[in-house]
Amino acid sequence: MLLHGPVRVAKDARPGPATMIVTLPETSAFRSFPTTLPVVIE
Amino acid sequence: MHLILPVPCCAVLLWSALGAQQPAEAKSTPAAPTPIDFTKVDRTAPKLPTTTHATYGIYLFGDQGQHRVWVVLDAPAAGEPPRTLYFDHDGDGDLTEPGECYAGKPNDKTPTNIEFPLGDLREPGGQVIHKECKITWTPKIGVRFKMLWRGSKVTFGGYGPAHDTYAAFAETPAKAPVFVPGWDRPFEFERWIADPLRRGQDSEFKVFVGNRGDRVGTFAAVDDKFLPEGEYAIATLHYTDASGKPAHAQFDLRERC
Repeated sequence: MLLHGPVRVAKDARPGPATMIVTLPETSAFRSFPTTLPVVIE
Repeated sequence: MHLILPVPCCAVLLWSALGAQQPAEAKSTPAAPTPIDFTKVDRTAPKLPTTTHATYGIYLFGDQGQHRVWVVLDAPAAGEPPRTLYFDHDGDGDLTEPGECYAGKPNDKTPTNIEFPLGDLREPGGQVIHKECKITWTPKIGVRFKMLWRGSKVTFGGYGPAHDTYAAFAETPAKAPVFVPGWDRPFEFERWIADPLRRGQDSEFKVFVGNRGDRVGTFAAVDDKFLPEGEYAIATLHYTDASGKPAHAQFDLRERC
């Protein structure tokens, strides 16, 4: 399964490595471990 | 986009009864799973019959990943398709036992892929049975697995951010990739297509839902029908702004495929 959606990075963000932390919301019927994924901002 | 099917209440109750993912109110139970420390996985070499060119993988079962299962492919030579698969059903590391050896067969549509149908699989150390288990060796996208977890919903892998990252088995037990199939544990995420995010523009951010393995390319996913309609993920971007200060922005990932 892929969950997806649009992500808009602020114009004043500094280019380079950053991190995205993904989790299920507290309202979810399921549990999750927050997962840190590396991203690159251009 | 696949059809999204709502999950009946009776199915949710059944999952709970089977010990699978629990509702949110059960989060603080003492036995709640914790992230797996893959450095502690026992990599003692399995006992094997005589092999020609063995490659190794590990599958972890149990809600703490406590049951290690060796899976070994044997090929006539390096780079050639495997002919035999050994699956350590009882998790004792002895692959010479009856019923743990399977012959491969070419996939009907893609004969370069070699399939090893395992049928029903009883987890070591328990009564949990998974159905229609199959492991497939491929020349380009690693070693694939697929099964009906607890006979109910599909889990498959291993995945990574791109096809060329999908994990192949390793030449030695010490380097064997570790996969964690199923949906008994709290979900984790893996990115799909790791393109850069562009400032001031929308970028589509996609994640697999399932269990992380010990490295990129070992992610075990659930399928698009697993989560009931309305479930979504939250992605929080942590970055540095132009002045050098830490900043963050939050996004909902509500689409699915």
